Amino acid sequence: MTKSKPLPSLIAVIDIGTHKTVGLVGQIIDGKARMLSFSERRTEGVVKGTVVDLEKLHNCVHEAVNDLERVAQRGIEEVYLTIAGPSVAGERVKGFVAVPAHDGKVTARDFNEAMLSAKRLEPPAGRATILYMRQPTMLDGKSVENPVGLQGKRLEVNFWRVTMEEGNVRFRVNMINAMSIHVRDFILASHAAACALISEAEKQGGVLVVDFGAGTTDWILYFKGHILCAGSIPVGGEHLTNDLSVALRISRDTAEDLKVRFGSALHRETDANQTIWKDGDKGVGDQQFNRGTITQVAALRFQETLEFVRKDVLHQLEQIFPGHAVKLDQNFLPSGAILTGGTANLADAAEASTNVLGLPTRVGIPQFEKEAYRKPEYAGVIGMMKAAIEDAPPPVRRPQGTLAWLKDMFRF
Amino acid sequence: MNLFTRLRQFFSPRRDAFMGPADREWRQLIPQDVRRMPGDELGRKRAARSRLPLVLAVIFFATLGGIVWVSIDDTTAVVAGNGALRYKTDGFYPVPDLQRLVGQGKDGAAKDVAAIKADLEMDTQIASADVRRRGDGSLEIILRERKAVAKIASLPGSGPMVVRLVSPEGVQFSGAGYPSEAIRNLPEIIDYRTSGSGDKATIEGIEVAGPFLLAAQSAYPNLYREWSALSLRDCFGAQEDSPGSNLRVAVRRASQPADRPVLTEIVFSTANWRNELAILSRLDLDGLLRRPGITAPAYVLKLSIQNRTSARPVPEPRLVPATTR
Repeated sequence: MTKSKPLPSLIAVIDIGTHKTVGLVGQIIDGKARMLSFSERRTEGVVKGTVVDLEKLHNCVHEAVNDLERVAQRGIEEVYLTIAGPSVAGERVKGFVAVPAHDGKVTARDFNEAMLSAKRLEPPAGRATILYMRQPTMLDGKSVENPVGLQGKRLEVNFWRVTMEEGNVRFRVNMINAMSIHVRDFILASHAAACALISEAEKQGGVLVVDFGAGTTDWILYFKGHILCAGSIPVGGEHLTNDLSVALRISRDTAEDLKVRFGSALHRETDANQTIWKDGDKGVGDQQFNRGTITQVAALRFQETLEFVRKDVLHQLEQIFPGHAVKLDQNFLPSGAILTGGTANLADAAEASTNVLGLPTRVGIPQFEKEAYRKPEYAGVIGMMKAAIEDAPPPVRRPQGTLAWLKDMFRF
Repeated sequence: MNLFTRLRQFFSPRRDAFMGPADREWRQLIPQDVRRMPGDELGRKRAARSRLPLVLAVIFFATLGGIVWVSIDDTTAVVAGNGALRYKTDGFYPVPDLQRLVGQGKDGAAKDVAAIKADLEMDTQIASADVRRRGDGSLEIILRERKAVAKIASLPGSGPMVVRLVSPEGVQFSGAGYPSEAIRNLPEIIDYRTSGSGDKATIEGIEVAGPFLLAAQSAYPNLYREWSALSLRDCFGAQEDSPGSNLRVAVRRASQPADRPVLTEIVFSTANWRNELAILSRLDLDGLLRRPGITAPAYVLKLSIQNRTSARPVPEPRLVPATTR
């Protein structure tokens, strides 16, 4: 018998980064997304992942939405947003339950009780809970995928809880609502990037995904198929540009141009012998630089940022496994590390990352139907689309108006 | 957050108390208020653009529906073969007469719509004609006919008696297509004087009699059906307030019971017939004609007699024994 096709649904995702705002609208047919429109705008009003001018950001996001709707020829009603940066924090929450059944079998009710007890823990003051991500469930100290029906005495449910400053969530929601669009959910930026880059086998083995963006560097660590921890460093590719600008006494635009063209994540002795020209025509106004200086500055900052990531990962792991000397090596994470984000385009980025993190690293390039978007900087938005499909069911049209209000009012 | 949770929070001494996982979940913490119309210009343009396909679709389907409705309008009869002529009337104008008028002109070519309209409106039975050529080349004719309220019979110098119908405006027409029963049931105008001849002949006093008959036909159809004739013998032109100016209506004898005296005539004044028609509709004529003291074989009901005992004259219907004219 032929399985009936589900109704096509529209999923819109927007990744608001420090450097650029990227949006994607896809139509979901038979569980797969078909791209309808793609939009990319230079983000304004965000510095190092922190919003400093809401009006500029609003206009920028609104322009992106406008582009998406115009190309897709469909109105956007709901949108998924990414969250990243210093205002986002994560922590591990646990819930326990003693299995009360006389035969020691875990029931669905026990499982729900354990989950509720984990979620009952209050988040820090002034922060809103954004999402809970499943971590391994333990039954008598053993990791199980689904404990229902198994025998045991102590059931432990773990979540990685992502929280965000309440004001930060509020202005994001209000900004999107002001465009007549509903925020369907938030997705952790690093998790979104990971969705586009890693396979289930890599997740099972253990992998570290580092999203080296313009303003922040977000990382997420998967272990035994689940997220183990995540974090964010408020340093990104723009810091490299800034360092070059200061070191070479040039404008930021010129520094960005030189970084992209001649920058490298590794400094080699031979670079000092090379002289490069800003414009290349050697005419009036053209400037010459020593390539060694550029690679030295860029590599130092790049490696320093990854060093911050390494220390942050180890710090988190010490909290999760207290008393265990966890080392960040291939024994712990056989799948190594994946570097993505715009700064991952820097030459020798994978090699430098391998040296700093102590893990075999590759640059993650997302698989996508359009070749033009198969670049590390688009891993976030492409992964968001995958995460939106996997983590949440396709949007369902709900009853609106008085009936919905009445239902909501009397909901227990 | 349901009503009971809200109430509990409202009466709670400490709002900040953590009330479970849902309390700090962003969806509960920040209720979404999606504006139907964005505030800024870009948003308004977006909203207008997103509604444009809907508006265009509505216009398209409304137009389509209109075309279909007009096409399948069954009130318009297709009278000519292969749908060349579509005809609709509010009266009885016969199709053969119409086809004769629509037929080819003197030079054998098809008439234009203005010529057909003029030809149709030449006939006094037709008040107005709407003639148009449709997209498929067929002709559509919609007629508005004059309403007949009475008939007149005249005897020309030679030939049989001619019965013509009269409209409330006093226009006489042949009544082509009218069923014979409908013509028979119309009251006949008698004792009239005319000026002019043929279709242009004018009945003196029809300015009063026409509206009177139309009012009776539309507002008091049961009374009107019993009338066999309207005599304009005492109707002095259009001078409604002339003393003694009357509209004399003859009542059908066959419609009256045989066990009581017959009402032969009802007399209305030309000045006050509207009130008198209202009074007549409320009168129990049968009861009046069966009262003790009603001894004559036939009576005339005079509605125009007015009681002058008070300062203001009051209409006082009175039954008067009929006399032979």
